[in-house]
Amino acid sequence: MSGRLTWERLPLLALIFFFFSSVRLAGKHLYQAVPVLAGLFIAVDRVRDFIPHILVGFLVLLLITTVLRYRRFFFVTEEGRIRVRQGVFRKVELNLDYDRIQQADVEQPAYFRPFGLAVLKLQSAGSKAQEVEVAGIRSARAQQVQRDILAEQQAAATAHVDVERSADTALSSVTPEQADFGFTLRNAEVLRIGLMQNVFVVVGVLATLLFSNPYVGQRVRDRIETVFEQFPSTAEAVLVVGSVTLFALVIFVLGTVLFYFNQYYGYRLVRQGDRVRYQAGFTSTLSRSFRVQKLQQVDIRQSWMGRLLQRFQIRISQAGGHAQKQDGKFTIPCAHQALLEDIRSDLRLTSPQWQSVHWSYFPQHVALLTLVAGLFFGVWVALGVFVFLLVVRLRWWRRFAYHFDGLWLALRHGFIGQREMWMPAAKMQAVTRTQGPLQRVLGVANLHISSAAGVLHIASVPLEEAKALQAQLLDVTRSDYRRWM
Amino acid sequence: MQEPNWQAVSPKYTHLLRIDKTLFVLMLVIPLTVAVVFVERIPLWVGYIGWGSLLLIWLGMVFLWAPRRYRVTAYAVLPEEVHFRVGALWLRHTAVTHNRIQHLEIEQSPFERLLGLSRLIIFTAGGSGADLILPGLPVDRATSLRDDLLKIIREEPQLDEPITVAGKTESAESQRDTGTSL
Repeated sequence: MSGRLTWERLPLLALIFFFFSSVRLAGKHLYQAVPVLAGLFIAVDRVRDFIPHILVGFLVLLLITTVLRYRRFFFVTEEGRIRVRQGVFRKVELNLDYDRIQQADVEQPAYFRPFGLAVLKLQSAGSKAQEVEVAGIRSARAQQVQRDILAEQQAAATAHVDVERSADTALSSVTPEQADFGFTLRNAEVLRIGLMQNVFVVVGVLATLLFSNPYVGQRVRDRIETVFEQFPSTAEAVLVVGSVTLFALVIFVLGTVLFYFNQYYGYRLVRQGDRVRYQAGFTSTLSRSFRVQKLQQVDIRQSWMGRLLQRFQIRISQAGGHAQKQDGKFTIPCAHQALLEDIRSDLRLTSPQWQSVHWSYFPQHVALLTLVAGLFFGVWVALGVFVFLLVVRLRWWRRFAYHFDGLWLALRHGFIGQREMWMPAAKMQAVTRTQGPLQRVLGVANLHISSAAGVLHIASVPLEEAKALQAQLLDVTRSDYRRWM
Repeated sequence: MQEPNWQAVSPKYTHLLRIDKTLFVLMLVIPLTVAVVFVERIPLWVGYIGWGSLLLIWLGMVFLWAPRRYRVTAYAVLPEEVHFRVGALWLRHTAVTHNRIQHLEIEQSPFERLLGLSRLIIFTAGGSGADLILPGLPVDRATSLRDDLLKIIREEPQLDEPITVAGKTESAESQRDTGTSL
């Protein structure tokens, strides 16, 4: 059977893709080996002389893998499914049925665009999410496959209804004005996306990375000391180093802004019936689509920078969201209040009536952390920690709330920023009620509601309320036989 | 919430818990003994204290904890949902509705086989935290439970209509707007 199939090879240009992909893979593996390599570098002096040779050898190895991976990659599209054969040492043949595909992305990297080629990325819905990347197929064909997948799923969903052909073809050519719902992000909006990212988190991660390795950390420290010694006084040194740091930070922020501008340039979202699709990107474009019936969770976030800019970020997850990477989600990267309201009403989110939780949620962790601080740093530090934590927890508790109206279950939390998670109540997978000894005394319990895309944890709800909510959730789910994915 | 009709698991589950915890304590005893016997710098009294406390832990686990754990482990199969409850101090009560069950599995470890017990695992799409594990079921009970559930799942109606729909609700359909632009 499979012998009669005509397995297709990718065009030679796909070599570029495989090269980048090999570099990325190597980088991922090498990153874990960094401490070992650094140790080797320090411990064995003679290794240093051979570094150029090692680098050349590594490059040759990369090139060989690239070519081998290219040579061993075949694919074939059939009615309603795609097959891929790949692997250098371990050969794998994957059969992906269109109606089981979770997400189909068509990406156009800069080096493919002049030739009208694209990368087709497919993600299956299985419990262990499999990903297939077909690089260098003609972009028209990639889009055809993407359309076929959506059509197949549509046909599977409405077996007897004949699919509206006109609505089905080329969602890509529909403008936001013609669609049932749609919008385009202006450049000024796209520029804000990078600003909304929490820069200090990234800087913090970089700093920990620098100092986590003792060897690198020592080098950095020595460097800083030498720099400081060059100046006549410490004040001047601080001034100079301070301004250099500030400058670096500005450059960093600009870089982030440019990075996201490139990624989301010309962001355009359209919804036609059940199908939603967005398209964005400057050097490489990405078009991503999903079906509303597969929606499992809507995440509306606002970072503290987002709050200053009065912008929100929305992420929509489908089943298998546990394993899904953040950049694999359907994202609306920047939305002002009015647009957010439009999206909310289009997704039929209800207007929330937030319910606070029991006061016992407020002093959680305070006693333990104060004790730890007291043991290690003395009474005064402990007192400071105590007061600080009380303030933080008080605010956290006051903003922590949930909402349930029979259709949607929502959870809200945040300290400066805010995050709202919305879940269609009837798509609940399981509901768990937990209660610790102290909570038993206070008469409260926690609820953990699992959807196919994540868990909502509602802490410290009065016991009767928790029981009632658990019962209501089961009520709306158990007799709902409509499609949940 | 009306309490479901809780069913106890097999009394043999207590033995299984005892075996499990005995093995757990043994795994701590062996390295301790090896260390005390072969490392000369560790004085013998450290060994005595260690053995003593492990013995206490073992006695507590086997004679107090295991019977109590058995008593607070219960499940309930209702016409449309499965419930599982466990824990005395730390209570956990999970419920899954039949129409969200993905698939079912029966598992048996060597000790469970020895005691004629098995575990029924009810998988949902909600990830590992949302899978329901019913431990300590007699083998025939687990199989009949699985077959019943499978039958129910097979006979479930499948509606084409999805739960989540986008767009204006039918009442507001007439005043449909033509897309917003920023």
